[in-house]
Amino acid sequence: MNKFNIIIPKYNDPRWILFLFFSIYLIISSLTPTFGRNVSQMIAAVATALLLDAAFTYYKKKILFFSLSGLIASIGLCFLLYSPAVWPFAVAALLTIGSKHLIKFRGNHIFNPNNFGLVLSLLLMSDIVSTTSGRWINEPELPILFIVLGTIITYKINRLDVALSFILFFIIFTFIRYQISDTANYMLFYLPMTGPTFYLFSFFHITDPITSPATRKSRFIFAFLIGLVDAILRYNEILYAPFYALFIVTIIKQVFPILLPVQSSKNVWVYK
Amino acid sequence: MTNYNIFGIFNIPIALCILSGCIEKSKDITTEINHILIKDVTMTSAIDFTHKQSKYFDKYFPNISRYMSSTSSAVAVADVNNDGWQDIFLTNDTGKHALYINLKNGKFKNQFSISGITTGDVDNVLRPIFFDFDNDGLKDLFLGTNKRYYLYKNMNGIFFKDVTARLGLAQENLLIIAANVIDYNKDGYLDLVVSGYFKEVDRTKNSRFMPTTFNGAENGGPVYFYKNEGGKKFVKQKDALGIPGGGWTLAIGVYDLNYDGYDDLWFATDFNTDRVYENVKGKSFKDISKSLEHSFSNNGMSAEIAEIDDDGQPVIFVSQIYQEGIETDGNTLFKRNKQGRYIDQAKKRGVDKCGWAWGAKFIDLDNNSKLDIIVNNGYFSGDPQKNLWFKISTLGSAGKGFLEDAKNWPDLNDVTWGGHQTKCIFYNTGKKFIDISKNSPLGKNRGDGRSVAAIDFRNNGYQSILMTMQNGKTSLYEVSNKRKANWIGFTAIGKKSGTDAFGTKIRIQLKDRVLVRAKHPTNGFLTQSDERIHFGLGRNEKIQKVSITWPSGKIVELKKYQLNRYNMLYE
Repeated sequence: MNKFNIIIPKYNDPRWILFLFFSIYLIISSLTPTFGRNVSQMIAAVATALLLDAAFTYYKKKILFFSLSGLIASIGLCFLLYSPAVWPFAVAALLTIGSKHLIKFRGNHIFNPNNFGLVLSLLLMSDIVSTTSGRWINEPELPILFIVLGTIITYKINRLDVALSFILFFIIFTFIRYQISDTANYMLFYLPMTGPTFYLFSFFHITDPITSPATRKSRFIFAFLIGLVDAILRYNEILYAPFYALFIVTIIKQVFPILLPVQSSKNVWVYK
Repeated sequence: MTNYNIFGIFNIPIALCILSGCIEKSKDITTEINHILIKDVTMTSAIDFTHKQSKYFDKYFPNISRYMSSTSSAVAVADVNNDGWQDIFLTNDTGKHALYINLKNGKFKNQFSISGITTGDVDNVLRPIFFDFDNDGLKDLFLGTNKRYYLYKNMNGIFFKDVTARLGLAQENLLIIAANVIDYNKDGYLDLVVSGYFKEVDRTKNSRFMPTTFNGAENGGPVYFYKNEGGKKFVKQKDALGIPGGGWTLAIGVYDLNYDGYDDLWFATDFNTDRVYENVKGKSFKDISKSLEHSFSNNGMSAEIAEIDDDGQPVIFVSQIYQEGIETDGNTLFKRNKQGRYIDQAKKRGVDKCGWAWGAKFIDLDNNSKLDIIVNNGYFSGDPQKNLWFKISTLGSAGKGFLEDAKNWPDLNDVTWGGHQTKCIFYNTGKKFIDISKNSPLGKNRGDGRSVAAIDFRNNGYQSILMTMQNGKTSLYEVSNKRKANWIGFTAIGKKSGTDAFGTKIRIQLKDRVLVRAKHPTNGFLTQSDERIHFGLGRNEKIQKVSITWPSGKIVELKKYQLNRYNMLYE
């Protein structure tokens, strides 16, 4: 806390690294003309998230708070959410930060805020919102970048096991889907693994240390369930299956706290 | 297998709309447009035409055969026999095209069998254009196909002779969807600009000819520019006069966008943003596509251009794809701002949502002097349970090299992909447009629409609507009104500008407005419309001033004219 009573995270907080990585992704997406991103949309998401997060904190604790998490989450929205309009980004940021403060259990927020904001936006604003899947440049360098930076951050926050096990379960469940389908073209099933979005999801979306389970065993179960629900949704040809899968498994996680225990958020963002 | 559609549980904009009272506004509009009558007269006009799509177009890649042959239901309207009445040419994959001659009583007669037009081993004729290439006063016919060009000279108003080879239009292994004519150098002869959709590859050996990505692909077909040498020869110009290839062009719009007296080009482009080329004093073309960088578009199908705001600035309506939860951009309505940038106004003006939109046409439905927009739409209508969006989205998320390989594409036969869609009528209320198609026959037509042309087939001042369907029946919708409105039409015959005088602009000064309409009948997707310049005048009984700007640059003020009829103009 500085002399103005504004809380700023310490320099060794791994969220700064995440902020750096997300900023890189935002720059890449902004420089991709077909991504359709503009400055107004970014401002709408980031400003809404920061102000709302600060307002919630001030209301509860009467302190001024610079929300690094809110900043990261809103940047995440900027490269996950697609809309030709500006206002959906503000609404999505509102949902994201709102879920963090209003949907809680034993002091912890339940949903990955980014996932909640994205899924609710897809459900509520479907006439003007979709995801950026397919809008990233599809050069091989991008998935490699996501894998490398994703490995670094998930290792630091102790969630590399979630990412890798989800990829493994995706391969297994995709093979099963291919076997029970009437399609001869197996490549069509594995195509997501050739693009960047799959690795963005695997390394950066399901690995939130607060909302993913605390123990290694439970994280394997968590990844298994996401892979299973994703496969069921994909079998039923539901678009954006992985995002919905995480959303559904997060609810399941709350129903089975013994199987999928979470840890207190106070113990999470510790630099290793 | 169930479908993907779990969207639309509740909709924030709809809720806001209800709260803000927009339902009340809709009621007002319904009252306002009740005077417009749109009637399906296909049967009574004796247009009995069903387009049949070639099923096995691509024998090497049967999975995408339907995609490869999905844009071949085209229309060209023109006065073929110079009798003052509009005739219709329709294309068919069977080779049995139709040339409907207007019998002047609301009926047509198919005279294709005596027209002399044959398209040999060509599977698809994709782009017909009537234009007078040799200025002999008769409309000749260009056909862009999936294999080559054809140029037929109109010999006597009904019989056409193949002059393709004599005129030097070499055989190009191109699939031509986009083509247009433009007198780029103002020599009075219409030149030809053609854009291939796919790049030229030997498909027996190479399966990598599909787009590299759905967003930003640059591996489309080449562009060729043929200069018309006095109606005697078409000569291919080096580097297409500065127009690069690689775009997945679906339509080429021609219009003098910057008012310098030279027609410019707008390329409606699939899988990427559109491209705009400025005519540099009739010598070459300059790429000014950067002026579009502040407006996103990605599935350009049709470039329909008109001046709808009475402010001297044309708008470009580029039809696009709108699909809830997936393709949320929709149509674009570009207008240039003071900084020279093209800004999309489609959402603001309510013309963005019309499904998988193809052909579009500005038509003044009630002759109230405001141009409305008719949009034809729908891609593949198959088994509604077999929806393709999921598979295509999966394909779209793939890495480089996978999407462009035709072998990786799913089987497109017997599936639905943007199908079963009803057509749109965007009625112009001034600044905004309202879709009034719901209670019209267009709102019941769920065919896989492609082209849409305006045609005043009764010469009564009402622009009726001709719509073609891929693998379906062509429809003629007659437009009329309960409410009286004045109009005026002009048939412009050029001399120095060439007989077609495409690009002629007419300005009409009313009491408090200036209307501008231009003669560009060959813009739009696979469409040529009634070329006569038409103005709805509403209740105006008097025109203050009529001035004509011919493509040659000559400006004339017209002293004698008659309202509620077509006036002949000679340069």
